[in-house]
Amino acid sequence: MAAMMRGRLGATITVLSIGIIVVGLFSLGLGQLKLNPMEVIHILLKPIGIDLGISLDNPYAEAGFWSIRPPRLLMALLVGIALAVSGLLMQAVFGNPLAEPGVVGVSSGAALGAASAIVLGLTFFGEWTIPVLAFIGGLITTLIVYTFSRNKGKTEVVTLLLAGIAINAFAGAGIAFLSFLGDTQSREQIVFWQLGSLNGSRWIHVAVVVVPIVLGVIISFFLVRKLDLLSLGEKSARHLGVNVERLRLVTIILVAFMVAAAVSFAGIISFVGLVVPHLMRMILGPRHLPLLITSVLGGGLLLMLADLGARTLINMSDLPIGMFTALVGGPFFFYLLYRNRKAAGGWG
Amino acid sequence: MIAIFKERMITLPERLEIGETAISARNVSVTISEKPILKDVDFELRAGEVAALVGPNGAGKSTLLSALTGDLAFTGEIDIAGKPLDTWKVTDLARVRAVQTQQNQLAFPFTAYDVVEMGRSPWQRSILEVEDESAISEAMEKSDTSRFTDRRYPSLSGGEKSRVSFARVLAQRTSIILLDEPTAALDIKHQESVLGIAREMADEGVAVVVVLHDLNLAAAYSDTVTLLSEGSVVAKGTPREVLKADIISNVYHYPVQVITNPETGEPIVLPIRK
Repeated sequence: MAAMMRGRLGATITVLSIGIIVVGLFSLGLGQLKLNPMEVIHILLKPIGIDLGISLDNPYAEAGFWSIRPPRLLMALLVGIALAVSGLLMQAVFGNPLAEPGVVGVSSGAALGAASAIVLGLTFFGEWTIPVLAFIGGLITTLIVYTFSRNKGKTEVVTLLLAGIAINAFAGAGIAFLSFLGDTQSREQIVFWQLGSLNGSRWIHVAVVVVPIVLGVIISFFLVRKLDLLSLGEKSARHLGVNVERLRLVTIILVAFMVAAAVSFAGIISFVGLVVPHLMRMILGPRHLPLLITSVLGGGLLLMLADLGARTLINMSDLPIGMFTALVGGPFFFYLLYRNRKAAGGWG
Repeated sequence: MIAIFKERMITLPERLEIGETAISARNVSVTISEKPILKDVDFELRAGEVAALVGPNGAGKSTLLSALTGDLAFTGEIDIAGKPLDTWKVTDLARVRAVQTQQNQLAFPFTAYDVVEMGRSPWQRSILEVEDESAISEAMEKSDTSRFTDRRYPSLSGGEKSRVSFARVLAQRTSIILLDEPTAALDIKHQESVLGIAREMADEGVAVVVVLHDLNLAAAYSDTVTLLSEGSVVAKGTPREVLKADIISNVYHYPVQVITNPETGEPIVLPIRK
């Protein structure tokens, strides 16, 4: 069993990594100005002194390329990682496979924080203002959902989802009020946000979100063993030496941190945190170390694919990416609910 | 993260000598939502002993056990291996005592092997890590769970789950073991085998506390019996001292007779049926 699982893990990592490279190269080549993968590799390698000697048809291709496509691609990768890992962490700490930042309202809480920064024109932290307010909004909502949905060390599906509905409604009201207050420009920005989009990602945005996301993933690696033990319930985890309160707090802060980073520049993109860890769990079983590794890769790949679709499916237009993930995630959520109900013998 | 690096140099706890005090509780009271659940309970357990906690439903057996594991706020004093409970760090405590709770829930479908392996986590990064595999296979063999190795825990029956949890406790290899109704879901064979294993381990120097409903199991396997009723200790002593017809009938509000097993001399409690 253990050997078989190791084999599966290796295969999954390989497939996902190859997927990221291939989709990345294609994605960088697609757009108004089309480049083939070899041309993309040529442009990518040139700055580090490797010249493949390919001549490009369009002399402006290179300059325009660097400022638009790589930051957007990296943003997709990072946001996907942040959302998938947050989903995994939330599921572990809630002890419930249906927990997800979008569904339980953490994303909308973060969006409410971010929207207030835009509309009220707050800039006290410079480029970091929006992420910081998103973090505060995300942290508050995570804590609220956590406090309200737990009962005797367990999270019941119904309470979790109802808490999510309440939070989403409240944050939605806040965002609606802010759009009412705001001028046309900020209103547009907010609408665009609620649907989620990576359009307009710049290098500076990548620079802002890369730190919290990479840090969040690294810290998560130190938690995996303890998260495994948490599956036994809080009491048994404590009996096995896990400082449950501390673990819970660290995990919740990490989730708020990463979701805020993702939401700040990409808006609300739901279901990534639900779909990715769940698929990986189906392939690899419930251990958190392999799940974390593959959720990082799978989350990045899924969002790169979704963004590729958003950019290219309809000519000359940029579709909201949140629409894509919800289109896949919605039915998937239904399926999970159905299975969960069957397993539990009711909605409890 | 600093804590993680510190744990690389784990000082192993000393094993208790037979006869050494493992748990000592004095004047322990527990109040939950202003309702006193446990009132001034004293309890003593030495290494090498099996102590049974018995009593009617709601007498406070599990509450006492929870207080001893540090899960509940209490007043009074509890010492574990000679040190006050509240001065123990959770990580150190996990290398001294193992606990089987009544709930055998699991949030995600780990295999039975994975669950037993979790019992080894307190020894991670210590020199005892080399014992992991032998401890796991020995625990699974003893508890008769080897054939579930690759089965998903949620797919097991109640009794099977309970035996896997017992195996996890065995794999932890601590000097003190606390078991909350480990036999509740088990058939006769496995009831006898779980308590037989507990007895064996006590004979090798482990201190065992076990909450039991079956008074005859308590009579057969324990050194001391503590009888609780309405949050207080009504009687304690050897099975023969505690399991007497008048005491039991009184506490359980049901007439019983106690006879002596002609082969072993142990008391046997029989309800008087009309």
